[in-house]
Amino acid sequence: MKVTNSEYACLSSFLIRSLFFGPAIYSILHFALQDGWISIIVSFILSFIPLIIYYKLLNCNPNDNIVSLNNKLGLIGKIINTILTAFVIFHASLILWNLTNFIYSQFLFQTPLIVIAIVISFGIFYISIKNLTTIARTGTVFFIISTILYFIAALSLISKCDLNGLKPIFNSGIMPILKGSFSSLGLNIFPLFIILIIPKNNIKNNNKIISSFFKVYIFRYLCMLSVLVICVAILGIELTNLYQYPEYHILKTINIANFFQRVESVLSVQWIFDAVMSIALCLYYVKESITKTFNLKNKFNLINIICIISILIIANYIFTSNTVAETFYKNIYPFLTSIFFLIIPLIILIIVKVKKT
Amino acid sequence: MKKLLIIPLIFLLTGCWNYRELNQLAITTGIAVDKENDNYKITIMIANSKKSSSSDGSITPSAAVYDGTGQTIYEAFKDTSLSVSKQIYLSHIDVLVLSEEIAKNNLTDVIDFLFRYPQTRNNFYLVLAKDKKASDILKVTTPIETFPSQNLAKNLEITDKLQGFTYTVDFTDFTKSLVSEGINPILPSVTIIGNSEEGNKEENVQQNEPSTYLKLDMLGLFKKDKFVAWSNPNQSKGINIINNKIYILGVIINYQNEKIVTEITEMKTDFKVENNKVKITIDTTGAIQEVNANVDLYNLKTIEEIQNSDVEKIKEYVNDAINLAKDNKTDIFGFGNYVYKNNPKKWNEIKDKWDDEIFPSLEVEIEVNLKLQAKGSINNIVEVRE
Repeated sequence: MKVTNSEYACLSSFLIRSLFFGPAIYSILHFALQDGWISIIVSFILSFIPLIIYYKLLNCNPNDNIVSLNNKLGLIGKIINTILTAFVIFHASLILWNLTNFIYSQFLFQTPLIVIAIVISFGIFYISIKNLTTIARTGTVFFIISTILYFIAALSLISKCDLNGLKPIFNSGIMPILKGSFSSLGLNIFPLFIILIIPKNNIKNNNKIISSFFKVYIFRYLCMLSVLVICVAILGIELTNLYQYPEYHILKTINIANFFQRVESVLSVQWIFDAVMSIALCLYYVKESITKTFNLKNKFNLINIICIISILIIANYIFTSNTVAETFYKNIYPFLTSIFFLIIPLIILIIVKVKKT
Repeated sequence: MKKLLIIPLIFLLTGCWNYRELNQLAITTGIAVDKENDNYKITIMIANSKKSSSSDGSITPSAAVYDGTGQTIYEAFKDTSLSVSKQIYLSHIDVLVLSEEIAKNNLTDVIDFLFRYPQTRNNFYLVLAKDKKASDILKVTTPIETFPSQNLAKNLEITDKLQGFTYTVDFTDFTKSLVSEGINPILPSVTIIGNSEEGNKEENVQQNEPSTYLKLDMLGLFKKDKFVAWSNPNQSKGINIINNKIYILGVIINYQNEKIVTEITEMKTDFKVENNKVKITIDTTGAIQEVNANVDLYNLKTIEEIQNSDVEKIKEYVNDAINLAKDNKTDIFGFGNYVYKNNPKKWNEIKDKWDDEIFPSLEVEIEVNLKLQAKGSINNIVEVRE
């Protein structure tokens, strides 16, 4: 079960954007206001720290994914795997909650949340029971569609942008920008850890992985930057912060020659793809982790079924309201991802390196 | 396993949860909000889907108007829906008409409801009802358009493009100027010419010369969320010039005691605010559109004199607009917003006294660069043979 280096890069791009629409935009703009675009740039520079850690882990043993690598550490490794698996399930639940909340608040506000979540879960479950090659190909198709939709949206909106909306720059100092950058790192970059479930030797032409990864990575970062800039430039920071999903509301303003309009539902499909593929990857991680850590066999895809039901239950009951969710995504979750997806991987890397020497 | 998966999918793929067919929806094309005995009165105009299907030759109104009252906007909407056999659907609103009383006292309540409601699309136009009830505005029928609300929205759009004294303000623009620093909103207005009672009768549509019709009026100025004043035509033109909202503007000057009209077709206004002084620069191009004077348009000096008179007239419009805003202590041009964006530290010091103290005392310098490029299809005036 091998994937090409470009498929690998596409899959990682979904993890970057899994929590970008909604929580990340909200958190970044809440802290940094109109300087949010600077936060994104700062986070891009700082993101090289986790990327180096992940790259080193990928290279530790090219035949092993992160789970196998941990298993070789004995009992500690198994405990780490269990903790990480639980956190990945939690992460997937948060993505599902965000997607469900988006659909509920913007399209189907008379439909119960659980019904929306169940319908989405079927699609995710179906993707997750396929092998890695199929998941990667699905991801590539989704990536291409997302990219086309992104360009249609960006080109339609660019004429409406007033860059004066980004002024004043550095109005509230450097700290809010750094807080925004941390949110961006915590919600967009640290979840990239999950892609380490694919061992290096499962990637075809893995000597070219850096170049293909960075092409997609930079493109995705530019997309995130442009979405944020377009939102603030069109709506102004006050309105952008007022909307729950400002990136969706600007799509409502698209109107080309009174012909190309009311297209927001179609264009927002890209965010649904991001979330669906990210959760599918999380499920793949969990399945691999459970089967390899506890030497279980995934008969009748039982692990996938239990996982998707767990994710559904957590997503349905985790937040009592979206105010609680906003506070959690903004104030707590970036710290949690930095512990589980940055510090723990760093510890794993140190232990592996020490053991090797 | 795959076969098992098909079973739940059969139930899930039959349609959306709680789906509604088009004929179950009351598609609302216009909303009017009035105040009545301390309650909100909501009037909605619903597109009548029955009209298109009537084949017996009977005339069915193309739109129906319903109203309801309540202590809150939500309650008023719910009260309205008691009279309608379909579900009120707000995704296709063309226009929101606000009464003067609502604009003076309760604007934010209306804004909050519509902003929060997921169905609304925020691209509908806002308009003030001048000297009339907002509900009456929505009821005036017209022979030209199917729905009165559509008539009003299209009138706003076309007047925005062809005249300089009004412009369209959609819900997003209005809310943006409400929440932004250093700028206050403006709204266009509409009034009823004729008898309001006659306006919603069938005969009004059947006459060549409708006895009652809607006419766009001047701009309404707000200070934060409170309506404060109406402009006159010259002030409206001045407001639109400063706010860069001019597509076409007729400038009428007195030349040798006769009238000459210049049509401005391109106009770009920039301003800078520095040390309690605003410098407004207007670059514009125009063409002579109508000459009622006995002048020689081959003569360069005449053209120059007309041009200078036009420049003075434009300055007069701008000065009138600024004086109106200063008198009402409301910065509708965004001079404060300029200070906020370019000098935020200074803005933080002065923002509390901007509208009441600093803005009214601003010194204004206006520079107009007009190019009188054309004279229409002819070169000189039509001189009748002696």
